Amino acid sequence: MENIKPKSRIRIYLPLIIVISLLAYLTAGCATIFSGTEQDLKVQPAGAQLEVYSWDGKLFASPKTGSDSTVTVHRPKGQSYLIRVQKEGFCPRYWLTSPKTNPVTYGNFIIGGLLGIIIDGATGAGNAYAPSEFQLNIPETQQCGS
Amino acid sequence: MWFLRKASFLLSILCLTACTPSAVVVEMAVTPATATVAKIKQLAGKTNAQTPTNCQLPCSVTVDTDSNYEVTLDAPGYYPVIVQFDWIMAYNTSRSLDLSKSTNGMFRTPLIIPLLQRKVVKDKVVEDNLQTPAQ
Repeated sequence: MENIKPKSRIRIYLPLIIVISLLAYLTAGCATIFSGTEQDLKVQPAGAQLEVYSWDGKLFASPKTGSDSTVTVHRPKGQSYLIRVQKEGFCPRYWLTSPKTNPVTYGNFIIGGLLGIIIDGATGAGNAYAPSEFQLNIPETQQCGS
Repeated sequence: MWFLRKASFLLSILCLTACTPSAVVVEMAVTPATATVAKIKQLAGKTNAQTPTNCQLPCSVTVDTDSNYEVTLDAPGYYPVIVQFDWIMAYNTSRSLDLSKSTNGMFRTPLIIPLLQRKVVKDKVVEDNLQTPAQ
């Protein structure tokens, strides 16, 4: 090794560094990198409270941030969830979501490979809520169905 | 050749039995546990004899592969709940929750709905009468 010139050392190690960097990038999963493990859901009217429950009744996600009409929640895990939206003055509403694949995760077929798909599945980044917009449209003055 | 034919035939039979999707039993309940009546309306698919049209919770809905249901829950003192679900939702949830198959070979999943209590509305007429001085 002592006889190898610095330029030659670079030639030896450069491919190794590129391969390691590429592996680190590819193993992270497309959706995990590009769209993250959280999803923005739209709620109407602004300021409505949204909660996500699993079918066994456990609270899965509450909004991390709540702005005027967007709430950010953790992405689902490939199953259906119960979403409850409520706001003072409106009748609360419930939705059951359909399992949906985050379109970004299809990028794994091009660059991420099987490992990327597995990672996206494990982090939840490969999934999305459907629907992603929730609207309360009945004012409480209408007695909310009774 | 005869061996290959037999093997492929057996594999087809095995695949047909193993890969045929089965119905999912959705066991509905509410929290807090309160007397709740469920109205079950089938929106699509074949009518399943095991699924009632009205029941007192907890009760079960058998969801066949092509069926779609709308459930309306009514509990005194709570806001009503209307939800819709289909087989794919129930099946995926059953698989995700990793529940064992029920005794009759069908998958099952709970559906526990958190009810929201109605706010107590003051009787406006009584309030008005109290505020109005006697003439």
